[in-house]
Amino acid sequence: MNFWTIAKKEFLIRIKSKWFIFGTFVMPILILGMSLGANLLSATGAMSDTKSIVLFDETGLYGEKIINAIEDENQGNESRLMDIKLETSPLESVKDDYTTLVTSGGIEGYFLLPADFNETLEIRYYSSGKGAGINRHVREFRTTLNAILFDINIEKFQISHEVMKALENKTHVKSFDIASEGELSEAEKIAKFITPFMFLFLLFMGVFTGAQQLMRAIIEERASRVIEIILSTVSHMELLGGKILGMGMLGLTQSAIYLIVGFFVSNYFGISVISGPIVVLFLLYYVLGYLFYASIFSTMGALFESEQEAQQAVSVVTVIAIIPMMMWFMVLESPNSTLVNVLCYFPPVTPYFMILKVAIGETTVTQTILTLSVLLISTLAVLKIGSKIFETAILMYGKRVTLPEILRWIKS
Amino acid sequence: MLTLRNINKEFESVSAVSDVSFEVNAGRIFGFLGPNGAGKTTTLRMIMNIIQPDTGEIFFNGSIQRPENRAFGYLPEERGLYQKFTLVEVLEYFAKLRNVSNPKPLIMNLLERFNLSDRAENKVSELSKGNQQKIQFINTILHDPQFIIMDEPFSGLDPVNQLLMKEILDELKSRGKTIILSSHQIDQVERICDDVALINRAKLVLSGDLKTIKRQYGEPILKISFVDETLIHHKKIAELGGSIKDNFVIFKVDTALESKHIISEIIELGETKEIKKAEPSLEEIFIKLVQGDIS
Repeated sequence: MNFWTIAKKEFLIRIKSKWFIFGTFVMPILILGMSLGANLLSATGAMSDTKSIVLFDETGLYGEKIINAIEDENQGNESRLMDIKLETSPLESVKDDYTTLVTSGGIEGYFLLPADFNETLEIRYYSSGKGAGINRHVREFRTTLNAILFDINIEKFQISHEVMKALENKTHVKSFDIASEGELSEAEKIAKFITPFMFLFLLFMGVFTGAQQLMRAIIEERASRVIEIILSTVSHMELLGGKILGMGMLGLTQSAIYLIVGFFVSNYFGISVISGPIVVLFLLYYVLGYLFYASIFSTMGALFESEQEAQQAVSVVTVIAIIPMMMWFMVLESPNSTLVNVLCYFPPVTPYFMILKVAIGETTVTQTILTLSVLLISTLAVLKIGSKIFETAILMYGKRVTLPEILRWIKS
Repeated sequence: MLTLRNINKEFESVSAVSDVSFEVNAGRIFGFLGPNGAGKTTTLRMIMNIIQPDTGEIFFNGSIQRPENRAFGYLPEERGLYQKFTLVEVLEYFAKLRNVSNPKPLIMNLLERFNLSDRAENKVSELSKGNQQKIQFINTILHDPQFIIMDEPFSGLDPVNQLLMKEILDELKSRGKTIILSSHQIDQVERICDDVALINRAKLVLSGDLKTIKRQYGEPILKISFVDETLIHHKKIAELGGSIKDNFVIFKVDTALESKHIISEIIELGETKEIKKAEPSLEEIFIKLVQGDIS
């Protein structure tokens, strides 16, 4: 009874708060708006940064052609990647000047087509090194030169365009859905790719932020000293259980809102991505994953008096929990690789890896049952240890708890 | 009735409560007194089942079986309330946790009594510290508990509200409640308690009925003042064993005969303004006891 009263209070005060409404409805709109806005800005050229580039051509064959091709391509383009000029003086005679120019920022860098370019096909680019590897203007230069070489070779070897096209062997892929045998539309392809990520994201948001909020609530309750009145009224387990349940329901409500919206939106576009079995498994992994993290975070809440200290203590757990968010692409590409299959049994990341595999249908019944069992056993163990520490630590004020002390509590 | 028998509690090999036994009778106010860090809060927390004693037993109305939580009203030393709740919300929440059905009329009644009914819908954070303490007191007694346990209940309260709290405690006492007040301000609590226990450095120094204790441990004194204040320096005073404190002459008197003799000698010296027989304060007894003056 008390357990429910506490859970209800935790749930109701948060669901009615403006932060919940903001986090649930406004944040996704903001994120969507920001990404659309960024694309829009990019299209208007507001985010472009035209680089000043110089070209030395020791072969004397391509310089003019490159400059003309780039100029033609960027005619009237406000957000062009570079302004390129051909330098006719030999590099050796002006090298020092250009080095100074690059260092001082006068120009971004210079390209050199060395005298033996026709044998080596090596373009040299000299710059301060910033953005090396991702510079789009370098890519544009290379693509332009490749096209010029292509045309030169057609003429040189007297090959017809038809032959060149045939030699290019441009294959393409059409994707079909095995069940309906219908061709997958672009929207469906995107949905198949995005859906697993959405499930992962919902799980991460619900489990991780729910556990974080729980920790914060316990710290607040300790800091406001209300905890002692509560503990004179209810047991430690009722308090901990009520709080875990209340926060869990809050996270689940948020996920349910997103799932329902996702279901209707995807149905509107004629794509079916949310099925009953996936939702059931999502809930199972969600609940167990949440309980696992909630136990750890509530224990930390009981051990520390300030949120800052507690956050530092849980930083290791935070890093582990973020791993799946960084590896999700790899899981989608190679869902049955040894690494992914091993990590599925590592409780802190089990829910995340498994929900990705479930969402793309790359798991077996055995693996699902086994991972759920591993997660259940480890969650029960963490809950038991966590509640012991919670019980002892919750009323300790002004004393830094040491690891040997914690171990002693667990053993007692 | 509440009985503690041989209660012990250690924290990290340091004794917080050592072999403490006392009895709290229903219908009386029991003062659990001692300096800071003596073991009062730990003892109260054990009574409240927040922490467990290492050894020893606690009996409730003669039974080891602990009554349900709603039989207890607890005002902890470390006080706090949900700051964002309104007064009614916070009191209703705790009432629900104690299974009180329809608590609203009770809440309004008590708020009225503490002159807070017009602020019922205000948030706790909008209240002064003293008013927040009144809410905590209401929360302690709202569910009509049999055992009322209060840790330093008067700290932070102004004299007017201290009086109001005393009035309500007297009512609760007359209704047969078992009441414990702990405090380090011995002189303050002494005024309202029927029984006391004094604790120092985890150990019980004494316990029992306050009047008996005073009779047992206190040396009665005579306080005399003269119309002519210079008489306090008369050589007869020193001969009779008197000492001077402020404008009074103080005599320690062990028997009624002794005080009669002193009074007859004194009135011969000159006109007296006041002759008063006084008891030493509990604080004085406590200080003497812990300093080993009385064994």
